[in-house]
Amino acid sequence: MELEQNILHHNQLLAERNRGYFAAKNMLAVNLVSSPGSGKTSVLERTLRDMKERADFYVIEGDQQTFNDADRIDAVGVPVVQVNTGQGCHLESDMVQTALQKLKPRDNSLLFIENVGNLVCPAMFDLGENKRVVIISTTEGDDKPIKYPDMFHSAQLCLINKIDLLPYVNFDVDKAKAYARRVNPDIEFLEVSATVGTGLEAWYDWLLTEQQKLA
Amino acid sequence: MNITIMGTTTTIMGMSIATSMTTIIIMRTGTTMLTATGMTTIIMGTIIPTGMTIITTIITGIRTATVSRR
Repeated sequence: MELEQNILHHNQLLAERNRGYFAAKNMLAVNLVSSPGSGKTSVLERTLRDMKERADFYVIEGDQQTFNDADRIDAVGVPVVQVNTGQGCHLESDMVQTALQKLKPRDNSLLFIENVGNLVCPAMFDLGENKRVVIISTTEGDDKPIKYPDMFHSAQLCLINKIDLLPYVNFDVDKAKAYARRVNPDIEFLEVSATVGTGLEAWYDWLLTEQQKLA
Repeated sequence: MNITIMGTTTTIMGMSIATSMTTIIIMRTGTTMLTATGMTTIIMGTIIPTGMTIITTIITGIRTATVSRR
């Protein structure tokens, strides 16, 4: 009898299955994570609107309740599935798997998984994604990376959103980056504004470059 | 079914356990246990001859996630 087993073993197995699915279909899967209100959906909406002619996109939306975010993505004309987690605070691998069965994404496409707004639980749950992108905004505290280190440790890219509001808030960009590098020296940064479009071309280039790396 | 032996200082996040429908956890006394809202928890305690208290916790996670195509 096996007496000791990782408590997330079941999730990890399914994450590996998702990873295999993405690899077989040559898909780039991006897990978008952030605290509530940092602008995940706004960044996603703008990205899809600007990029939908340049690649095949699919979206999985994660929220405790409502179809609000899925409706916003649907209005852009991109296939989307809403996962409502009820009292759950994060997405899990089997939810992504079920959503993929409904989405039926095409080969060589790009999948965004917008996780539940939360910097704690989603950090622990591998969904099988290729890349994890954490979003912080200038209206939050610049010490988020050291308050929630697991999330920043597990991400490859950090988008600093609402950069257009920088003159009006007490957010120190250099300090935020230094804190994030303290927990993850390899993390990359892009400063963007989903509202006015600042820095988004660099974000789009990052996405296309990562997709091309799969080929 | 997962069977896990946890130490005295381990914190178990109940939400993690939701990944398995049924999990049996054997904990030493003093183990911190956080259970997630929405899960049914049954705790049974047993004293074994060595004097160490072992608590067997059976948790049945009730998953409420729904997946809807728009």
